[in-house]
Amino acid sequence: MKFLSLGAVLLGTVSFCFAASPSSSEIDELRNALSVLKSSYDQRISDLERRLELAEGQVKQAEYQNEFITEQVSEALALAEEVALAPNPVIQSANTFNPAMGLILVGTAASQTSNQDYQVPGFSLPEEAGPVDEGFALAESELNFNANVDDKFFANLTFALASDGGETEVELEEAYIQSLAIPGGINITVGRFFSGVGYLNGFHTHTDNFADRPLSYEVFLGGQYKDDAIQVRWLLPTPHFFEIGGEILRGDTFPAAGADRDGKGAWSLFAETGGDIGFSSSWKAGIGILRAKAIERAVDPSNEDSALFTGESDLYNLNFVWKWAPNGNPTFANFKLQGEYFWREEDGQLDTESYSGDQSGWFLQGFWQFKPQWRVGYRYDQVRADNKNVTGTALEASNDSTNRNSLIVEWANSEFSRIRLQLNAGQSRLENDNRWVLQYIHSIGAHGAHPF
Amino acid sequence: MNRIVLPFITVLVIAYSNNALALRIFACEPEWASLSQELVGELNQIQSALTVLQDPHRLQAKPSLIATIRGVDLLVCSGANLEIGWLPLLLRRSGNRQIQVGQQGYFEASSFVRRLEVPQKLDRALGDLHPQGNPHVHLDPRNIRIIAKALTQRLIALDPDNAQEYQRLQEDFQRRWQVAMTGWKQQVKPLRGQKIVTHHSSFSYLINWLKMDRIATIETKPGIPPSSAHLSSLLKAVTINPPKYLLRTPYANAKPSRWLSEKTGIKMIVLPYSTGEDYIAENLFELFDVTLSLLLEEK
Repeated sequence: MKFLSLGAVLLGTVSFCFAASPSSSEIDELRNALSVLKSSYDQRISDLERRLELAEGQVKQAEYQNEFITEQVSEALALAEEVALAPNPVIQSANTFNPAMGLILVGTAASQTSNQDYQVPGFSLPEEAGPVDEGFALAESELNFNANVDDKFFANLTFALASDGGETEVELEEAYIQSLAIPGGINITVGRFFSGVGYLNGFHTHTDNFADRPLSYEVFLGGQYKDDAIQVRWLLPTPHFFEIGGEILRGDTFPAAGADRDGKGAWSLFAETGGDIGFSSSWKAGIGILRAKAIERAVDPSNEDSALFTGESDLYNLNFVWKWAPNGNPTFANFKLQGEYFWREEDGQLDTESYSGDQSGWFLQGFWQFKPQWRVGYRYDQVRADNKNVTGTALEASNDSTNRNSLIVEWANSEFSRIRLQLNAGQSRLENDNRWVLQYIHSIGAHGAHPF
Repeated sequence: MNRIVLPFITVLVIAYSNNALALRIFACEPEWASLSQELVGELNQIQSALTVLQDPHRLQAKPSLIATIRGVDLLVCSGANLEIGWLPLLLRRSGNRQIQVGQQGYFEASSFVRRLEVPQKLDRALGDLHPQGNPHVHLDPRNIRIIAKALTQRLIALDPDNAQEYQRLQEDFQRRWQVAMTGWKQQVKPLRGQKIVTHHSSFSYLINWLKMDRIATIETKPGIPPSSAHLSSLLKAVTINPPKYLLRTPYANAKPSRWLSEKTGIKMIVLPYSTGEDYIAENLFELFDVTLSLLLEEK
């Protein structure tokens, strides 16, 4: 714009000079002056242009630097955040690969009204079965180790320390390995373990809702049936839960005895199914059969001159469990209803006489947690026997069944410490047999996972 | 006989026909089901063990879960011992070797991020501690971003045929998450330093992200319900130094915080904690949206 107006002024001057028709020398002078003027303006314009260019360059550089700094800062921030959120270092020590170790301590104080040895008419009770001792007593203290052996096997060992007449006995409860990597939903367990027949049988007694096992467990399985065995389970590939399994067992423990058939004296088959009903309840039901061969099994182990049973003992079991918790969250309140039915047929010899036994029993129990730390439970037990040719032995039964009612209140400070009081009103040798038991069950060390 | 066998075969056929899907994913907690859903799109089928109303510490290895887990290819869980009470047993019962610990099919979200509250001292007298730190890692959106990346890598390793699609979904998710995070960052300034009391340490990551100030927890020790003595001392403490809110998860016991709220007039808020179908937070975006709007008292 400036140049334009400058040009206009110059033109105006020139035309004025012509109009005045000046002399040629004047014209030359003017021409010279004009060229000086022009060159000085050219100079200044190019100066200005250069400065403008320089300024523009500086601005660009500053912008570039700015961008660079912003980028660096945001990179540094991202890095800082990454470091701040990076996983914690794993602490390694020589103990890192030690198996999970858990210890269960159980003790009781008990009292009973009957002074006689406990006996259920019509049944032989193995030594380890029966109610807890009167007075103060330690129950079995259990020590459990378990871990994955490698990518294909899991191993578990549980032993129990028990007092017996002043002596401390170590009993190997479980020692087994289990497969983890067989395709097709198959699980194989070998070693010593709790048999899959019966719902409650698979659980350690310290996880029970009552201080003692149901009567039917005492008389049909000696409280808990375990033996050296192989077990195969197959989880069917169905959306609904179906599992079938079988075992071949050594046959050395009640109801089997004597490890017949070269140490393969018993076998079992079982099947389980279960599912959910809405969000709040889940259930499971199962059937099982245990066929055991007994060789010279003492009918009354507490008596040295006891009659001995040799023959087949076939046990059938039906079981179910139903668990309810509001919205499936058992933290505050939950309820569990559980029942099992047993039926046993025995055929063989009692000493030299032929003998056949027909026995059955069932229990039903409910366990209700009504506050986060408080639970109450009730259980009804019944067993009855109809045995032939047993007069004068412990297997002699009356026509009546033996029943028992149990009531329990439990307080748990955390899931690791439980204290409970149980009252039993039942019978022993057809007389009333009332008992109470105060028990603590404390667990230290690794958490066990809770089976359903 | 046919009446028994035929339905049984039908059930088997239905079970096998599901194989058409690329991967079957099982999420222990609903938040990981949501994240998996974002990262696998329509490709796969996802099931969650828990609903948002269930305490992840307290599930049982129930039959339906054993049946479900048998056929899955990938397990996505929080880890850090959160599922210690039920997952190990479920894994052993599943007869599924692909998802055992250490296999590609076993994804432990908390192992990819920094865990808070790693105890200096391990003693159950201090409650049911998690030796590997607090496992509720999903309540910091920055963690979600990191875990999403790791999960996509795992999906690609398990199902390389669909790698491009997983990559695309990952980029799409990260972009949307970044936008959402920028939005949340702008909102959360007023929450900085705000005093609160929580029921359990379930919100530690949220509190850490928002730089809020937790002055107490209602559970003195994790997993042990508060005693009345602790509650009355807590009552004194919050009367002298009142927090703005009492926070709890939908699965935590309402009674203690309700009692404290009634005594002091301090507002009790149930934060969504996780996600679920037909829940106030249906996905992870909504989880933080709703959480922040509750804390900021937007109506």
